[in-house]
Amino acid sequence: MSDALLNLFADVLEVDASKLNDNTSPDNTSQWDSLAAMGLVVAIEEKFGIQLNTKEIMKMTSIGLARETLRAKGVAV
Amino acid sequence: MKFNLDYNSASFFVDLLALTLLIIPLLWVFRKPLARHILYIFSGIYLLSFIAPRLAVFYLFYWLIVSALQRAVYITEHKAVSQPDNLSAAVVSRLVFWCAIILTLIPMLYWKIDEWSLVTFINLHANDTLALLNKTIWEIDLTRNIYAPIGLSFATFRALDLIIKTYLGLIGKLSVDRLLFYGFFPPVLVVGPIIEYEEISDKNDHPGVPAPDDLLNGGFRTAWGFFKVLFLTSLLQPSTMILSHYQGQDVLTIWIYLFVYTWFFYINFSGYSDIAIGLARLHGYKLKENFNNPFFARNVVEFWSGWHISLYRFARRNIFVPLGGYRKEKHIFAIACTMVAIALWHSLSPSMVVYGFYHAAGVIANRHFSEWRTKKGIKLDHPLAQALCIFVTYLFVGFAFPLITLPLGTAMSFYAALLGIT
Repeated sequence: MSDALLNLFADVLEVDASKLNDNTSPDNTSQWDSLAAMGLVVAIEEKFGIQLNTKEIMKMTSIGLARETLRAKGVAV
Repeated sequence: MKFNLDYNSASFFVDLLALTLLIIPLLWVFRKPLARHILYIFSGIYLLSFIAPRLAVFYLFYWLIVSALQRAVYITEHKAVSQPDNLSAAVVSRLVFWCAIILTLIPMLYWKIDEWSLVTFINLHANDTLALLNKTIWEIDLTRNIYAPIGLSFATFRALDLIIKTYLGLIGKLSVDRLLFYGFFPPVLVVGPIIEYEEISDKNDHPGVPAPDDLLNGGFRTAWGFFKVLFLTSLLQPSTMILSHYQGQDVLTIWIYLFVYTWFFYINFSGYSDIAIGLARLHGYKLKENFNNPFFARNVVEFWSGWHISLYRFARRNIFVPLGGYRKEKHIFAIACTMVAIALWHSLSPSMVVYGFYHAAGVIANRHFSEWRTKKGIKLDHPLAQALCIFVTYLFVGFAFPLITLPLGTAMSFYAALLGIT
């Protein structure tokens, strides 16, 4: 099953989507550095048509928490 | 009033080791979280009392205040989230959050700005408090001396991390015993790492007792840490003299001693982290790594991903991101502020300001270089290119080490000697 959020992370981090899951975080993924994180924020906002505030960005410390934050904003991921 | 006993971090860790080994069998008796928390809280207080009982009193007050602040942040934030249309609830939540941040920071800032005032405050007032509690402990305390609130920088950042995560909704309201357990967790009391609450929370499916592989890995890791701190650093210790006896030395000698000194610094610091991680593992807690081959990093960004990782992680999450680091227009500004904040966390001194900007310049230059390389399609995959990157990064990082230890004027004089400028 295709997971839009995992695919987005895979594209930006240049990692195989099968290696990502909700527990993926900067702590266990070296590709997720601050430069990649900047790309992630832009990609998420563009793909889902939303604007993230600082507090929401701070919460996104793993793919699972990014998913939770997006769902709270009404994005179906 | 006279205090006259010096603090020795190696002896503290020997005490910590003895206590850790003593506690292990007790973990099978104290199986319930509350009992285990109390066991660790008393262990932490006991260890701090070894340095000076008044230090334990100071931290008890500190973490009780943090506990009250954490509750206040949780309650007001919870209300703001559950009532999204209530504007005043959001304002109150934000106000309480910033008050909590400032109050948590005050002791550390007070200490870093006016070191002796806070030390005197702890020496006198915490000692007076002990006089009210127990005359024997008060008398023991009179024989001790502390020159700094040991571990305060680490404790402050741990407390800040907790409060920020509570505000973000990542951590719920903590009972006093859970919060004090985090505050007094023995392995990280003195020289870190800056652990996050999640690393030791019950949510991590901690079984309550260590598994055989915990005992094995923890034992080896602790032994490796002690080997580094007690043996390897003693071999490299003579290199420290170069920072005070560089005048009259030839340039090559100063360079060689400087690079040996960087290894002394790294092995010593990472050794204490190994001990902390190993001792926690002996109790079944898997703390995150604090070092990852920083001297083999291929660029400055990679260096900071492997050097004092817990501090870098904290700074990235709680300074870099809020300052807009993930927005292109604020990225450079956020990098500069974050690197200077990391430097100033060590000490509020002109040399550390220079150190912070030096590393910020390195990180920013690396960012531009990476972008330029990507545009030009230049790859650095060849082993020789990789080796050159590692060497240049090490040179860049090692060159700044004297700034950590020396006042700015002395550091400049050292650099003049290092570069052969007389």
